[in-house]
Amino acid sequence: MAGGRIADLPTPGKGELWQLAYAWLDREPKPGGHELADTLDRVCGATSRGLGVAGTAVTVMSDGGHGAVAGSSSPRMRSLATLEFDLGEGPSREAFASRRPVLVPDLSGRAAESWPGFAVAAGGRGVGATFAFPLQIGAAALGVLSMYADHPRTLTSDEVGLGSIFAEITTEVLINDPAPSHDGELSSDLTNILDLRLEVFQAQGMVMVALGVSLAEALVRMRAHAFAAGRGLDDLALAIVERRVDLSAEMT
Amino acid sequence: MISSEQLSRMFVEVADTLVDDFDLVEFLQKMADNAADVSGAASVGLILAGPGQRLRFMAATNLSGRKLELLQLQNSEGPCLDCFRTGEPVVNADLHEAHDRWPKFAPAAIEAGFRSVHAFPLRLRGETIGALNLFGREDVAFREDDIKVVQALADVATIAILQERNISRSDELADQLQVALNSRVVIEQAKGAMAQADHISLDEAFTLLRSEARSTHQRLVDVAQAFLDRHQYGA
Repeated sequence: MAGGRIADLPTPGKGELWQLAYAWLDREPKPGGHELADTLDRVCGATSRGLGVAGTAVTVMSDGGHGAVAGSSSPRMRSLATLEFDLGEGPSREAFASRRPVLVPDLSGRAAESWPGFAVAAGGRGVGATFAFPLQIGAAALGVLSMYADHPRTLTSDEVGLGSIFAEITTEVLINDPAPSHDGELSSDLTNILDLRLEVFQAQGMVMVALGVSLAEALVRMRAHAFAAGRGLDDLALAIVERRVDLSAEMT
Repeated sequence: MISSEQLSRMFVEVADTLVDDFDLVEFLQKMADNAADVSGAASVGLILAGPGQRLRFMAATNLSGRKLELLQLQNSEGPCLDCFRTGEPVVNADLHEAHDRWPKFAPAAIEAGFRSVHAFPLRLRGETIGALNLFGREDVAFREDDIKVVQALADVATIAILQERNISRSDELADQLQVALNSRVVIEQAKGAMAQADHISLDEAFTLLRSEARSTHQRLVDVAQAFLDRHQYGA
């Protein structure tokens, strides 16, 4: 009796907005190459169309706070993202530093006070609004997904949700990249596992300390190890948390 | 049944927590503990909805509570999901009579020694952002008054989740939930890092992080972040 109702329930990884995000990705032309940049360009294209903005760029941040544009929907977006990191101020930098989305519906408003240099320079290049979502898994901060619109506009709650989802997909692509199976296709494995398994984060912290690497690198190593061993990431994480894996011997 | 002494202690605690430098994760943990205390539930769990309405685990009183939340999320069925979906509480559900309703969850929860379940929505202005679950080993039947108190707890939890900033626009709600969920992840990462660095268990690490936060008047997530920063290498 209740079966039909349960089938309608929102399921992890299968919410409406997630389906929408993947539909936008499907519509995006497949990249010519299988390089990381090609996949990121495709995610940027889907993000732009999904949110109806002029364009999107992915900036990956290094340890010292230097940003490198790793993907974009167009050369113009690449130069806008570069501009912000050259100037050393702007919403994307703030999103990265504060680890939360920074939404600027009107670049001539509050933004002009917070980031005067950026507001003038970006305004001069025809940007009316910008929205920046941090790429992160807990304390592991990888970079920023930045969207630019030609005219001032706000995002609805669903659009913010969709932007967050595209940021999660981008994070997954960045973490996924070293996995040998990566063929330019996008999978939702990681985000599904991360939703359900706190052990993955605990193991990530343990591997970080055991190997003396960053949190992001710890997750990359865990993925590679799980893949090589033919086991699931969640299964490996459980073994690590239960201290059944000799981290320094097996994970390096 | 809830005593007036319990009630007043609980709300004093809530008032104490709702200050400027407010610690969300610690607060939700206390919320779960309080809900267990007042209801006599053996386990309590709390889930929140992330981007795209994906439900994620946020807090539990113990490992059983976490496993029961996980069980529901994995199987996409259970009282928490029903409650989230409808925005209505699930009260006094006897697991032995719930096989049709939750064919995977009910038998597994019974197997784990539970008998009854209750779920209360976390609601803000008609929008459901998560759910609070109570699991009983015996048939813990709630009276009407008790239900009101637990729902009040759930309402306070909702306000707490959203009060870090004044939520005036709906886009800020999605943003706030994402920050809350990310805090939970930061704390798990720090637990792992500390357990490894100090050769202790994850539970011991969590206790140490919590007591450091308390003694230094910092938020748990900030203590966790600082620990990770001290132990993070490379780019």
